[in-house]
Amino acid sequence: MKISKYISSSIGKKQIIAFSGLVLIAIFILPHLLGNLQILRGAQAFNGYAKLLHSMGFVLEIIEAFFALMFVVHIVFTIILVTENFRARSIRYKSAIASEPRSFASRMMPYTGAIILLFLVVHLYDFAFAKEAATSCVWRGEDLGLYGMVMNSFANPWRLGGYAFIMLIVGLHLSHALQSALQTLNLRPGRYVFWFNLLSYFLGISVTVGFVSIIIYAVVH
Amino acid sequence: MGKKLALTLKIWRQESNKAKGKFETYKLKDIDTDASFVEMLDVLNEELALAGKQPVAFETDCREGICGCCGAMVNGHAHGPQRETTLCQLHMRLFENNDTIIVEPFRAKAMPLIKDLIIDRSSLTRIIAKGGYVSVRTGSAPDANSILIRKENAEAAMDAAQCIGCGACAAACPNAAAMLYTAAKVSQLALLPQGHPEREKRVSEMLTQMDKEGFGNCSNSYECEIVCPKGISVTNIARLNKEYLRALLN
Repeated sequence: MKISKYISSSIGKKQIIAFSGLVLIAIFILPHLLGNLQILRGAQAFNGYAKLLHSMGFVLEIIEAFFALMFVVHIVFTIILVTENFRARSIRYKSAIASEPRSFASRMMPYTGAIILLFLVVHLYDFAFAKEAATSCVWRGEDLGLYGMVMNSFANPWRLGGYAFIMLIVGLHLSHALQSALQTLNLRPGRYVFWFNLLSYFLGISVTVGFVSIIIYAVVH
Repeated sequence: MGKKLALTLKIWRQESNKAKGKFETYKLKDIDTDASFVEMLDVLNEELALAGKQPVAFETDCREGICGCCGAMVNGHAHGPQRETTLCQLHMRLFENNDTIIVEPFRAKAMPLIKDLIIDRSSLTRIIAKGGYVSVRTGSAPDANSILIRKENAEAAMDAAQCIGCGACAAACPNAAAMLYTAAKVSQLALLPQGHPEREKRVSEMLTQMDKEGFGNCSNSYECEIVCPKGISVTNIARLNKEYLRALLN
C-alpha cells in the first residue's frame, strides 16, 4: 500500500490523529502538568523550573517546534475527519435518535477540541509570549518573576474561572482520548478494555485536578 | 394468544429518493403482543390496502433474524430498543398499550432511501465484493482437519462471521460509518489461515471501497456495538485498524 493511500484513508487519518494525540499527552501535557505543579512548592522551585527550561535553549526550540507540528497534524486531520463525517449523513434523522450509552466525552470531542485550540492561543499569549515585565511579575511588593506573573494572572476572577473551566474541558477531552487512541492503534486488547477505559478516565480526572490545584493554590495565596 | 395492544404509529413515508417525505400517523387496534414488529406492519398494510391506500414499503425476508433485510429506527433505536435483536425478532410484547411508536428508515448517505422504510444497501455488498473471498485449491477435496486453527481464533472468527450486513451499525453511528461491518468482514477472514493469501489486499481494497461509498469515519463512539443485532464487538474494529496498518507496513 502506498503511504499516500494510507494517509487519505479513513483509518490512516484516525491513526494519525490518535498517534499525534498520544504524543501530545505523553510529551506535552503530562510534563507540562508536572512542571506547573512546581508552583505548589513555592516561588523558588517554580522559577527554577522556568529557568531550567530556558537554559535548554536550542533544544527547547526543537521540542517546541515538534509540539507545534503535532498540534497542527492533530487539528488538521481532525477537521478533515469531522467534515467528512458530517457529510456522511447528508439527510439527518427527523425523529429523536436515542443516544445509546455513548459517553458524553466522545460526542463532545470536536467541540472540546475546538475550545482547547482557542484556549491554546490565549494561553500562549498570556504566558509563553508575554515579556516578564517588571510590573506583571511583582507580587505583594516582591519581584517573583514568572511565579509572580502567574499569581497576578489568577488575581483576575474572570481569568481564574476561565482557566478552571478550560481545565475541565481538557479533562473531558482526555478521558475519551486515551482509550480511543489505544483502540485506533489496536493497543487496547479485548480483555483489558475495562482497565484501559478506567485508565483513560483516570488520566482525564488527574489532569483536571492537577491543573485546578494550581488555580486553588493561587486563590489561597 | 397474547394480550391486545392499541398503538399509534408514526411512520416515515416517502415515495422515492427524490420526493419529499413526512411522518404519517396511523392508529392500530388489537395488535397481538405475540406478533413480531414486521407482523404488526403486515397488519397495518392489510388495513391500508383494504382502505385503498398505499401500504408502507418495508423490507423483510427470512423473519428469523438471519438475513439482514429488515431494519429501521424504532423510537430512535436501530432495530428497536431490545439488544441483539433484528426488527423481525422484536416482539410487540415489548410495548405497552397506547404506546406511540416512531419508525424512521436508516439514514446514511451511502445507504440512500428507496421508498418509505426501504434503503439501498448495495454499498455494503460492493465493500464485501472487494475482498470477501478466499483462494481455494480446486481439484480433489482437501483433507479434513489438515489446517489446524486455534480454538480462540476459530471462535473469534465465527463471532465476526455472524454479521448479517443489515447496516444498523452505520445507521446508529453518529458519523454514518460502516466500520463495524467492514471490521467484521475483514476479521472473519484475517483470523483464519484460509484468509491469509489475500490478507493485505483484502483490508486495503475493502477499506478503500468503504471510503469511496461515502461512509463516515469511525470516532470510537461504540454505538454500533450496542445496536448490532448480532452483538459484534468493537474489538473487531481494533483488529481492522491493526490489519490496515499491517498492510501498510508489509
